[in-house]
Amino acid sequence: MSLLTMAYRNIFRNKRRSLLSGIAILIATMSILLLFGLIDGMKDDMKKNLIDFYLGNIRIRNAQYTAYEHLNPLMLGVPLSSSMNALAGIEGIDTIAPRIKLPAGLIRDTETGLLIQAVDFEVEKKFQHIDVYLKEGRLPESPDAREIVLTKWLLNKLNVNLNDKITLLIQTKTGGTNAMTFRICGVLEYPVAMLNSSSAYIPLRVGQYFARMDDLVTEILIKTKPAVDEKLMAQTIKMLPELQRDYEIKTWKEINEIYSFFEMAQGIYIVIAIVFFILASTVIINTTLMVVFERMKEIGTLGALGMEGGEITKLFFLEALIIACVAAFLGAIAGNIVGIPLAIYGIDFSGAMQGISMEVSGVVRLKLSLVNTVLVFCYSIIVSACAVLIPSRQAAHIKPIQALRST
Amino acid sequence: MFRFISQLAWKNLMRYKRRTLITALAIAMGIGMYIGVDSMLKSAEQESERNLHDFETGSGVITTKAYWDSKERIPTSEYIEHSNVLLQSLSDAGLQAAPRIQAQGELIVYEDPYPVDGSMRVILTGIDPVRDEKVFKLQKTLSKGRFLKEQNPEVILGSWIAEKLNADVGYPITIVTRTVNGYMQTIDATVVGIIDAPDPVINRTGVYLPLEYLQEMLEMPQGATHIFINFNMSNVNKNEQKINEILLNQPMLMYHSWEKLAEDYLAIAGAKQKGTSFILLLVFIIAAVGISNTMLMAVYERMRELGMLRAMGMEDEDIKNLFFIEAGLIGIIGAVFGVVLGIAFDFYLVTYGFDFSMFLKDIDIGYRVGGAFHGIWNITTMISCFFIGAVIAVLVSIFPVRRGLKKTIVECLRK
Amino acid sequence: MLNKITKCVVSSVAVIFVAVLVQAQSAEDIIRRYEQNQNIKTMSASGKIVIYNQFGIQEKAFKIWSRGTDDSLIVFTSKDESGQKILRSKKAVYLYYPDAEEIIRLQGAALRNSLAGSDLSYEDMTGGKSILDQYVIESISEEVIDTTACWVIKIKAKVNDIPYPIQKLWIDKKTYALKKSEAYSLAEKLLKTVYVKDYTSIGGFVIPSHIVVQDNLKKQTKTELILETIRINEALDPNLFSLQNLSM
Repeated sequence: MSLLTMAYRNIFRNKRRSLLSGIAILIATMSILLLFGLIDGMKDDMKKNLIDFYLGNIRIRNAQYTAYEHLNPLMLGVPLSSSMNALAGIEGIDTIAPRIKLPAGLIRDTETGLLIQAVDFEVEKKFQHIDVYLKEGRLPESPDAREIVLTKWLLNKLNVNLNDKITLLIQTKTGGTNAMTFRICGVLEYPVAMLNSSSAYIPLRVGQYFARMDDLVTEILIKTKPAVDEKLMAQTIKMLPELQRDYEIKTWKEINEIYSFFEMAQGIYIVIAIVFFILASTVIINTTLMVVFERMKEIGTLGALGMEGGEITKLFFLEALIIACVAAFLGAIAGNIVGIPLAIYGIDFSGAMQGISMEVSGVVRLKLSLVNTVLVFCYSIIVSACAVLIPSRQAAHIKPIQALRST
Repeated sequence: MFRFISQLAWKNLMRYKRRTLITALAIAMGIGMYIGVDSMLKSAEQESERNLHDFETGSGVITTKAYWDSKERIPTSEYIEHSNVLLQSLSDAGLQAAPRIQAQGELIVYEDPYPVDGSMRVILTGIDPVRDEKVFKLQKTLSKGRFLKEQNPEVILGSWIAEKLNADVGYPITIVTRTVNGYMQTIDATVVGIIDAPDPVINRTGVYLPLEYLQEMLEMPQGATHIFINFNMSNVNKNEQKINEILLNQPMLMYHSWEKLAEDYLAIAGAKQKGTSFILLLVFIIAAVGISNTMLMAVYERMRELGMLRAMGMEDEDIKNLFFIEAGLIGIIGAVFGVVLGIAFDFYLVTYGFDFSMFLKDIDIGYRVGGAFHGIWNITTMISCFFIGAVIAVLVSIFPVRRGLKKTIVECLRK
Repeated sequence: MLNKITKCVVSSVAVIFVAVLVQAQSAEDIIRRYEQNQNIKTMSASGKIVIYNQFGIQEKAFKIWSRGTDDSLIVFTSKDESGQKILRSKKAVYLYYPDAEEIIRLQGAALRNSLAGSDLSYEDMTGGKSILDQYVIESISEEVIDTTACWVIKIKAKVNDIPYPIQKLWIDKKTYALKKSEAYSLAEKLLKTVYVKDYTSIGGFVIPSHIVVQDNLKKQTKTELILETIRINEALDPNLFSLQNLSM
């Protein structure tokens, strides 16, 4: 009789015991998988938010802009039409979003500050799906409409309503000031707390006129088509004669401060994951250890019947391995099944995320991936196998008489 | 009889030392982990509050009503005029108090020794080097140089501000501000120290000058915009009553508790608890699964013994009790180990902590926690975990024992 | 009366001028004379502000009208600012922008903002009050600047809520025109320097027509003010300085 058949029979001989140790592995596998799904979901969400709302896959700015950003140096801009012409020849670009960032003061009895962005709404529909986040009203009717869309949060903060008129005072490119009256035509609501507290958009052309930017914008964001190497594309753009000098062309990952955000978030996730791993592993290890020790007598019997130490080890190992494989497999499936609704509807963390300036949405959708499933599946099997190896090897060295005596 | 059963249970446990140990360890691991995670999360909250208390709010503050009404603008000219008199009355009433001035200002630095010319808008804080210590812990967090001395044009900077400006101890710095009378004022000061506080807000925004010097420069002798008060938080009502009595004949002044000062922070903290409990719940589920699993296994493995005891004529009720007591004992042993493990985790967290400072420099994660995430001694959690661990162990054993008792003796023995 | 220009745009310091030559007079006399001689009934001019900073040079053209010491109106004519107006009355400063539906009234801290990105603040052009009402004479001495013999009068604030507590004024001994002024913080650190490069003599008045303002704290910036085609004591539309007229 082969060891495999024996192991197989042993598993079925004591169904309950096998079931218990299996369930431990199953639950551990499932929860690790769910946690990973959650972490990946958060990371993806953050990436999406960073790209859609802040950085694009590639951001083009004047090389000096960042250094003087606190002074609002509008003269350090990027010429729009020549850049657009130059970029037209690049393959793999999905959308190009020019934006002007304008710190503005709201004119009333006292001055309240807010950051407005002049954008091309037609482009933003594709780029950040701004129409999806529009909760009331509409987007500006024409590229020349003096209309503004604000988040609900800002409406409350500024104590104004939809269709009200507000006058904003800004600094122009040449350092002078200018004021303009806008009608609030739409109300936005974003899933990210940070965006809600700071988003106000006016049409690009109006913004250019307002700040006397002529053809300049403060930044051009590029969204690449899926599966396009953004690093390579950034290199190509850097080679364009129009953009060769004086411009900072960076992928979102290269924009330091923000990427460290990302790294930090990952650091925290890893700590959480490790805690879960250890905990889940103890459950697996413990259950398996228990199984082996409970079966000392059996080991003794097998030894007395003349089975070699190595074979006993192998037998136990095989048993554990089969259970682990089945349980980890079922756990992986269960994790994915439980994960599906969470992936569709998400988990509402909006409370927990408030006041955190990490760009994570309030509702986080799980991200299930085959790679994670396979990794966690293998991990569970390896941990259980290792857990069983130590006691079963030890068991193999025990003299039959000793093993038999133990209960 | 009960005594006998108890003794038997204990003997059984000792007889199967290894099984007892493994089961107990499973319980211990779950409990220990839970205590550790709980400690870390609670500590982030507590440390935030402690940092707020130690560096930003104290137990409460006295300002003028006019100041409080427009505090967002930092209206320095709405200051408390005779702060010394007020400080004396507070001190007579046995309250620790520290006057401070807050004012808007702009820091200006020039090339050499700085790498480039630059300026930065900041909030200046004037502190009384002696009195401030009674409320705040600023002095203890000095990482470089020395603390402020009275009457000198000296500045202490938060570590991140210093880093941004490329400032170091001994560097000159020019501060432009307005006196309470509206005049332009400049202060040529020397950076004498750099602060590295556990409260990141202080590192990011702190610019401190000696109070008396700032009073003179801002034309507000004896004046202070804030008088922060520190008292034992276990006796809030009595102390607040004392303060309000002192303020009774000062209709211009108002006392605000730290909760009011930190309103924004507390609103966030409340919401964040939801996230914290979610993580704790996941940890609890895994720990509970671990405990139940091991207990279930332990009982099932002993079906035969159960059958034997019944065959020898032991009453079902007694058998039940025997197993429950054993389970309870294992639970207790596990819980003891668990708490010990938890204490070990806590010890590590309290003494060393996890260092995230590299990542947290430029962002506000809502918690007022600086460099390292520490732990706290969460005695309540330890106690509740101890009981919950033990109770779960017993509860989980009910099901298999009952099942065993329902079977025929033969069935049990066959196992 | 000092032409409106100096009063409002020109001087970052509530500037001075004295026109009559009087020997051996006290510093108070010099200033009093100077203020008496500000009695230009009306004034109009066109001019430009040239701003130098780390980002380059910007020029902004404007027209200015003034009446007495209190009222003045600046209308920008350069392309970027075209149509923007600044009205100063005794009480306040108002800003009109062609694209804004409301007139902005500056008060409090908003007055500290920079005027058109220059080294001047709105605050610098407010207040038609007499210097002697706001300041006391601290000392008087003499100095020659660029071959111009000047009195140097140091004045110190005696009222609150004016930006500069201490100023030094260099006054031409011959013409009683301002040659230079310095504004100090309460701690006597130099904040701003105004230097008059050129004058226009008209109807018996010597009016500074090319002025350089320097922020002594932020060393990379400088502002020049140049006035051309100055006319004085011509009849002006009385509605010119009204709020109603501002938005027309």
